[in-house]
Amino acid sequence: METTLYLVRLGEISLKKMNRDFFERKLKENIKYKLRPYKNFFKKQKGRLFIEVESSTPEEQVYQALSTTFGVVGFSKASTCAKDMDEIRKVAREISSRASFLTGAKTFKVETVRADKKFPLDSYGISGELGHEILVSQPELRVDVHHPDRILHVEIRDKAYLYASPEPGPGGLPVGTAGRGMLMLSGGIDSPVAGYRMAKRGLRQEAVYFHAYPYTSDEAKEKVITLAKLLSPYCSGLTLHVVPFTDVQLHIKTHSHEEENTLMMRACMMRIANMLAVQRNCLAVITGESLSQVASQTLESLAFTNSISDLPVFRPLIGMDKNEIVETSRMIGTYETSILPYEDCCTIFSPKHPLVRPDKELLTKAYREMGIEHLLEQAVGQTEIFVL
Amino acid sequence: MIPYYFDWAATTPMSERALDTYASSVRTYRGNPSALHKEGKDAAKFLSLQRETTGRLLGVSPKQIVYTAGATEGNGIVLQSLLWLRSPASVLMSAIEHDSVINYQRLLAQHGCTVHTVKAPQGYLDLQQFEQSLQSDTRMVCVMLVNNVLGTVQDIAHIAKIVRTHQKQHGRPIHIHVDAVQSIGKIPLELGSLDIDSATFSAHKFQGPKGVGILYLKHHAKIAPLSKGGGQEMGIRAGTENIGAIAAMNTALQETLDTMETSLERGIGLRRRFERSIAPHGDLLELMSPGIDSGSAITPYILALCVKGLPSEVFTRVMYDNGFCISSGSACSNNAPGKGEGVFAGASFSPEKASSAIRISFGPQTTESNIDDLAQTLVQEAKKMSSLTRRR
Repeated sequence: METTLYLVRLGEISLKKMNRDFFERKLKENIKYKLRPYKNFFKKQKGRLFIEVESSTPEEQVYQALSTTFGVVGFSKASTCAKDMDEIRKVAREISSRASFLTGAKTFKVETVRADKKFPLDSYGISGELGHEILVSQPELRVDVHHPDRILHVEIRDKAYLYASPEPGPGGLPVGTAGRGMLMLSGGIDSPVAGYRMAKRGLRQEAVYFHAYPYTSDEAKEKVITLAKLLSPYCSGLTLHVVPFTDVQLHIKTHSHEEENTLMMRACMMRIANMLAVQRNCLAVITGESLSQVASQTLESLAFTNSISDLPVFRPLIGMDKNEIVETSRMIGTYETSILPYEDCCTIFSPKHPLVRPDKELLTKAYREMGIEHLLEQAVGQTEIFVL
Repeated sequence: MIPYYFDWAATTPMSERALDTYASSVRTYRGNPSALHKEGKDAAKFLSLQRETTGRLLGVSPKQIVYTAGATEGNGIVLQSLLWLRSPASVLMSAIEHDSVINYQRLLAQHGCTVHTVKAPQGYLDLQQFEQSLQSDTRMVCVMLVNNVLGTVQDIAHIAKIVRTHQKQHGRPIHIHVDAVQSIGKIPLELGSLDIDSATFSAHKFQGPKGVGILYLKHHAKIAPLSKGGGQEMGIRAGTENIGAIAAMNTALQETLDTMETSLERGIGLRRRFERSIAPHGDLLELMSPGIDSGSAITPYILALCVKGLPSEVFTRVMYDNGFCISSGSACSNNAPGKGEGVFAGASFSPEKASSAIRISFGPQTTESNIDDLAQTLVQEAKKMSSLTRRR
């Protein structure tokens, strides 16, 4: 079977000591999961992962898999040859004559890592010789060691590995190395970004969405399913729980003061997220809240909703501005879906003047007096599950 | 046909006869009307006969008929013609126009045109304000004949008279454009006797096929085409003519006009029946359109209601779950934020009422029992929904 070699550069994982194997194994599992329709073989070397994929695998598929897998710092299609300078020169000539290397490039440099210290030439010598070789075969190129347009990387290990300017990976830690969390996913811009941020720190996640038909449309639900699908590659798979929330919202509307409606709704969502988290072995709840963005995200409001949760609540966007969140949302490809005009909360449940600085004690008392727990349990029991 | 279809103003079911015409004409006339061979010439001849039929049915000359893909395209052809004028024009339009007219405001403004909108309280153009808004450089006036959400009918003859008087005083011609898409079969119409310059129609609003319509143009001179190419449709709308759809449209038009007198009478009866059924429930449902016996100019087939305190979208979903197709505002703008609320603002309704407005529209095939079921379900669901959200 003919294979194509891809070299993956690892970042933070390389710094791990005793449990590096665990992180590398998770990373391998995550990449293997994404490449599962195709045959592939993995080989580990310090700070590097070499993946041989059957040659019929579409290149875009591999790029898509590696560019969305946390733990990958950079990757590139690589060539390999024997540790012999003539062979290495030949491969260097071949790579530097490719259109992908030459298009738009005026300058280059060669960077060598000589992991095998027995190799006769030192890294400086190898770079110099190969630089000369490329200058001869591609006379229009110039060397610029400070700001080159292209870099030819050479690594002398068990064999010689050569690859050109690698694609950047997403960095972070492999999903699944930091336990499980329950993401509160709405149809907005923020919560998918929160999910992305936590996945980047290795958290495996499941997501929960609260659907209040007919007060919110089925299009709003479809929108959240689409968002979950877009987020799924970064999370190495995502299970979405759609909780029917209409009865809960109506109970809140009819049993609480109007200005408290939103906070009571947030409290109920937090309770349900906790219940589902326990069912699904999750140890934390994740939200897309950002300090003072809206009335339910002031410090006082967050203190109240936080007190409803038994589990730690992660708010990775708490200190981010909206434009920073939007930037990430565009980068991960969820923005265009998030801004579709299907609201996930009906105006009927949005008070004109919501509480901004609630008294935690008073509100907790009011929450208990609503007698809503049985409805929350009922809603959890009717949850619809989508494995994406 | 869906038994509880009350969204006829959005689109209508295609009539069987129109369907038959479509099938037979596309089978018979397979050539391109612009081709020189016999197949093409036969198609061209057939098309010419169709144009004569359309002209006859609308009471205008066949030379004044341009076939389009529908009223949205027709409105676009007329409005974008302003962009080609040497000096920027001033345009006057009613505030309750369809989005296919209203949405040209920005483009026209970008090209130096001044666009004035005139409010239409309760769905009727404020004629005093309209007259005052006419400027010395006004070059076009756009007024919708039958409003697609409220069902109100504008007095086009009177409006045209105001415009022509102003025109005489200032000596510059003013183009009067009428979006008449909701008029066929819904009100008696004598297009030729109206002193207007253009009007637009869509076949699917009167049981013809979708994707075909008519642009009536009194004179072609000042109209620039949107699409250029083979010079079809007198150079106003290039592109191979959709012969089957045009023939089917004529069949539907003929059928609609032939039966209009009796069906209108029936429609008035149905509307009266509906209004009487909901009248005792004024605390839940409020008629936004004028009543059928109010003496106002309306079509019986379109009416807007306010479901008090409930967002229109929510109530539309609830009604659909009960088997009724109704609309929240105008279907054409249901994909955009705001969802047709602009018409209600233009008709001076409060934002609260606008956000709770639903549109009911029916047609010649709607029965008394359909109307009774609709009224009963509207009342029942409005009652249920409002009790669900009442604080205990």
